[in-house]
Amino acid sequence: MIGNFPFVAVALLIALGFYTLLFKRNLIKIVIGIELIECGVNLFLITLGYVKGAVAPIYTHTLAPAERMVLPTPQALTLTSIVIGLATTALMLSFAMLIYRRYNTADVSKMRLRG
Amino acid sequence: MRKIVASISFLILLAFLLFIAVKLHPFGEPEEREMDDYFIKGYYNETQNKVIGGAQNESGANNVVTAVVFDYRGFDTLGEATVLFSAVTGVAALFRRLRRGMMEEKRSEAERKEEGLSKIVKTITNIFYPLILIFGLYVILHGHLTPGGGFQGGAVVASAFALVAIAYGKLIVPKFLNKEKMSVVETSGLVGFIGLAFLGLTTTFFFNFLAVGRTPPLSWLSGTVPLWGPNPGALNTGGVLPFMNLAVGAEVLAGLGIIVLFMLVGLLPEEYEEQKEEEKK
Repeated sequence: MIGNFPFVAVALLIALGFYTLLFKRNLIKIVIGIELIECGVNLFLITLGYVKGAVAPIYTHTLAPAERMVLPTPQALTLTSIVIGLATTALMLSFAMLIYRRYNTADVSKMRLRG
Repeated sequence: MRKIVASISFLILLAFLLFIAVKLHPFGEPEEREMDDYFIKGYYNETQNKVIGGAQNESGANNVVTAVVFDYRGFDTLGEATVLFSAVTGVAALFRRLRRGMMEEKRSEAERKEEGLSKIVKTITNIFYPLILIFGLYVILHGHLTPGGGFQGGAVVASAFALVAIAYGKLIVPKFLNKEKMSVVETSGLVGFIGLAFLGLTTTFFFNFLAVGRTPPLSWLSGTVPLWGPNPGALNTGGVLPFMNLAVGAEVLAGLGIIVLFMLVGLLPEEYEEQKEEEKK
């Protein structure tokens, strides 16, 4: 019996991400924090739709018509979220690369506007 | 001071998250909500959730997740494809200064051969590259039958591009991953996806007009009745879903390929900028 442990894991993941955002000043670490929050949200959606003892919602793989399936809508939303996350991460990392090249540091607190 | 405020707000947030995690419905027993409440009367199997029961008869796809992504919740996917497109555009715009440098071929052939990782890695890459491509295309084509679809298959194909990029280094890859062709594939994928959605306008936007028995003369195309249980795969089911999978797959593989290309060339641009400055002098 694992109880609500998956939800607790989600909460810890998101909290870790927020901790990184609040206390770290390295740009790469900030991106990692955003990624952690995103992973937490994805895990949350998946765990929300889980049904005990159910199979994946794919008829090609089921054996009996009456088998219970997990909810498909959260899985579809997670799919959406993963691809958007990948694209936005690439964008964020590109920004981080360019900022590092301009200021020669990845530390947010050391950056000053330089025209 | 800043740290104290941050710590207090972090603790409050953590407390909220843990409270929600404990107070949520028991794990594995979700409630039936209206979120999953679309169906055509009389179609769905009463013992199941409404989307699951209706997916096979309404959209004719064996993979219910794909049915939700491209049929029931097509608008979400439209937004997602647009976000992906604009993110790719953003990456390309950020590295626009490197565009001129990366297409120039100033290096000698010997220098090109030296570039990248060792010969072992290059040989293994040569062997695995077509296999990864085939697997990715399989995942795209069978999106309505097995786990997968356009997004996942496109990502698999783009991972093959990333493998080549790492193994061969930045001197060869710009020649191999042609940016112009990639952007044409990406744009046509997005336009094809939106066009397929518009074709359903006889009823609604994103209407699955090719599904089981909806356009009888075209039923052979993809409107046959899906088979139940383990089967060798009836590819011509699912209505417009296979075509949408193809379009989205093209968009994702080309978009992620462009991201891989631009980020790789953007890694070490200093020498190009130095070259440009030398040319000015």
